[in-house]
Amino acid sequence: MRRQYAPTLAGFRVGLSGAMPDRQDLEEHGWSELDIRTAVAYVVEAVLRRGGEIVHGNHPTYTPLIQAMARQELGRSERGGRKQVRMYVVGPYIQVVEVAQLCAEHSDYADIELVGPWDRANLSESERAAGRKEWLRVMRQRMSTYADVLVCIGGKGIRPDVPIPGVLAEATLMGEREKPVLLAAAIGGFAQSARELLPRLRCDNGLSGEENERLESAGDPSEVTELIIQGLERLWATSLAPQPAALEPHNVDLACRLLNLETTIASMDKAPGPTGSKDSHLQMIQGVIDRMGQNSFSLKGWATTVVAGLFALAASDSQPKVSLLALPTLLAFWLLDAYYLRQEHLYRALFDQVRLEPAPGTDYSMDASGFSVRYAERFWSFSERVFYLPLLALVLLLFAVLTFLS
Amino acid sequence: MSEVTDSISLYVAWDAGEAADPKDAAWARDLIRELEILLPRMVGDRLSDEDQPRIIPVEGFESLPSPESFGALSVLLLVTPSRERGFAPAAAERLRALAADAAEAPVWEGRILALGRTPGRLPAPPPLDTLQGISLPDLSQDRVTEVATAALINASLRLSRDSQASLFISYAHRDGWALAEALSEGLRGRGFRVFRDENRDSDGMTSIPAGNSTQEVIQANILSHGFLLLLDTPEAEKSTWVREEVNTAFGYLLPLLSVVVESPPGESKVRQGGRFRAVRELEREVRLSSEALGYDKTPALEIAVEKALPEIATQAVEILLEHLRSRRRLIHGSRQRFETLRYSWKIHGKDRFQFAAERPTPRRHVTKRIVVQCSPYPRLLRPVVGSLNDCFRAAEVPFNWAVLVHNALASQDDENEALGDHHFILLLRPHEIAEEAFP
Repeated sequence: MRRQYAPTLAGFRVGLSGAMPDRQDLEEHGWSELDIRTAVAYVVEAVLRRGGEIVHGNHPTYTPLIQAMARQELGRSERGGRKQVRMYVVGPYIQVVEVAQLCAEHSDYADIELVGPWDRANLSESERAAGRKEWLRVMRQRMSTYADVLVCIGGKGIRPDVPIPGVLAEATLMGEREKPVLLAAAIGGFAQSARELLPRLRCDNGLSGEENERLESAGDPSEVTELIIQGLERLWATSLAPQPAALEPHNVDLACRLLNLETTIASMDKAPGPTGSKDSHLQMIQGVIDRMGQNSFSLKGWATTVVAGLFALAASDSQPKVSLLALPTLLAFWLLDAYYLRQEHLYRALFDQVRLEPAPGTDYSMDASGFSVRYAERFWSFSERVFYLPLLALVLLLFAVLTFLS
Repeated sequence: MSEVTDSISLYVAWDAGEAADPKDAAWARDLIRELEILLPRMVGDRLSDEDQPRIIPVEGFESLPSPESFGALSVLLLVTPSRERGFAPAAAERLRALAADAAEAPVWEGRILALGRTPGRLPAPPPLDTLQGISLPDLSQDRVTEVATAALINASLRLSRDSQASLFISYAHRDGWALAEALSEGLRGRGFRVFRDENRDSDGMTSIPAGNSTQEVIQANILSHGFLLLLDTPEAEKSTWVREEVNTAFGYLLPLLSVVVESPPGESKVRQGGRFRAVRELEREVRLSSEALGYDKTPALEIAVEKALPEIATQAVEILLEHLRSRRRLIHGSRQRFETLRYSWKIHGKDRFQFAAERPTPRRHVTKRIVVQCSPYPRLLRPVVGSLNDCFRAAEVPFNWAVLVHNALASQDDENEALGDHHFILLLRPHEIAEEAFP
């Protein structure tokens, strides 16, 4: 029998960052690499058991752990069809064959987002390095936009070839977005490189100053997990419902589709700078538009079901007033439906912009916030009016009939 | 016999009595003296004071420890008698019992290390005649280090897995077969249990999807051993099979050591840490020249392996001791948490890390009793649940709860299968030990 947990992190998008600290740092602080790995495994498990989502950037040491834990927890918590892990993959770090491997090996538990074009053999070393650097930056930005909070476990210090350690870069981005960061095993070189940032990160992350200090130095994976979960649960409780899912190009299906289409990424030759195939970018945008359309359709289905259910309840108990509950419910569905419709139109505008762009390359941007589509217009659009107004009229009519009969 | 604990215990046993060779006793005492100097140096502060290995002399085979008193992390270093002298029937029976693991066949290697004082003493007399043993013509520091290394590895592997644990060699057939073969032989000669998958890896596979039977085979293989020795060759990097083995070892928290073989001449030097990005983070490697590549054993390969063996053994011990320390946190952490909840804590079962936690309740003369089993190994889930169930049912004073504290990863199906009808057994991580877990 397993201990059961309430969904105290339901829908919370927990970013996971980290790197194995240098061996010397580990030894000095009484840690071993197994402690770091165990801490990662425990935290992933605890977050998933409480209904949270893990967001990560395909760190080679941590990915197998996340995979093992996520598979262990598969089907154990209800998450409304959403996958429990979101994995960002920086395209230029992998070759095309590895994209297929990623799809096959991780899509059962994770949504995979490929950021940037994959590596190609004909690139020079400098082009490759520039492409990687640029797309890593983009990936970090996307990850920090999507995640509600960042948990860092371990981390390396400044090295000759890495002037800004990855964990520090990711924590800084979260800080800039005023999102909370929890730092565990912040020891040795990493602690030194982050010493200016640490006091800022310790603020408003759900833990007290003393708890933060314990988290940074605790040598026991269980203690680390306990503190992190405490912090996350407090944050979740104060922020209550997390924001609706960010509108990102989604998942492995897309990456696989790109492969099937054998799309070539032509403009990587011009690196540095984010340039890629317009076709694949249009595919990505189309994916989002499809998803929005599907959301609208599902909402309409749900609206009808809920109204029918309420009427069945009202009729069976001879309580006509119950049927009036359908009015605010329908209104809520209408508002949400209009929201998705607006999003769809925003992405249609983005699609047109990319389509009509004269330059051959693209930066794969999925930012559609710059377009102007008025919410009120979508709310009062023909497809919405024709569906919701008759439904509202029907509610009032049935209410009158039920009142008359009772 | 001294009190049994769950720390590493090395029993050094020799033949005694009137007809025994008197040189055996003197030699065994010298060995103990050397080990007493060497072990603290090897272990250092990798283990806490209470976890430091203990050496227990056993004078005469009739005093061999009973299976009940032979702790979970015990290893018997046995000075083999001559074949003519052999073992008395009672001693042979005791040896069989010590090597037996639950209902399974005897596990000689790992629990018992046969030490041959002179060349004629190996192989040992029956029933240890199938054991390879370690030949010790002298007690030089190198030789004693070999024995201590083998004993520490065999003991600490057991806390990683179970009593059949061994070093699992992961390699690509195409350019690592000869090296894997030479390393297996060399390591076996040093008293290690080694497993090498003889099946040709499916290098042609481009990926191993979730739930695929290949993945299940790999997982079963890796999880039944305690330590992954990765032969990092150019072909291994391309092998989906090897990559899956490395990922499984990482995902299931197993210790891992990489033997990096340089690429053939003319190709660029392999970077520090090897070809696998995940493994590079561990900052450990043993490096061999490109002469070790290939499908055929060559004299150059054998020389390279012979040179590398001590380094592999030393690094393996370091890694295993680190893991041992971390694994023992499961026990220390559980104890601490129960004590915070005001439970008393004492050893209950001698072999498999079983403890009894007790606390008086507000009701007079009523005590809350919990039998706690700490288990860090996924593969042991089923036998451990069985042993916990036996303990729960057979207790003279009944327990209120049976708690299995573990850091294993297991699918829901595995757990359900292991738990069977024992739904009263509660599975917990150490940080999940809380008042509300067992009301």
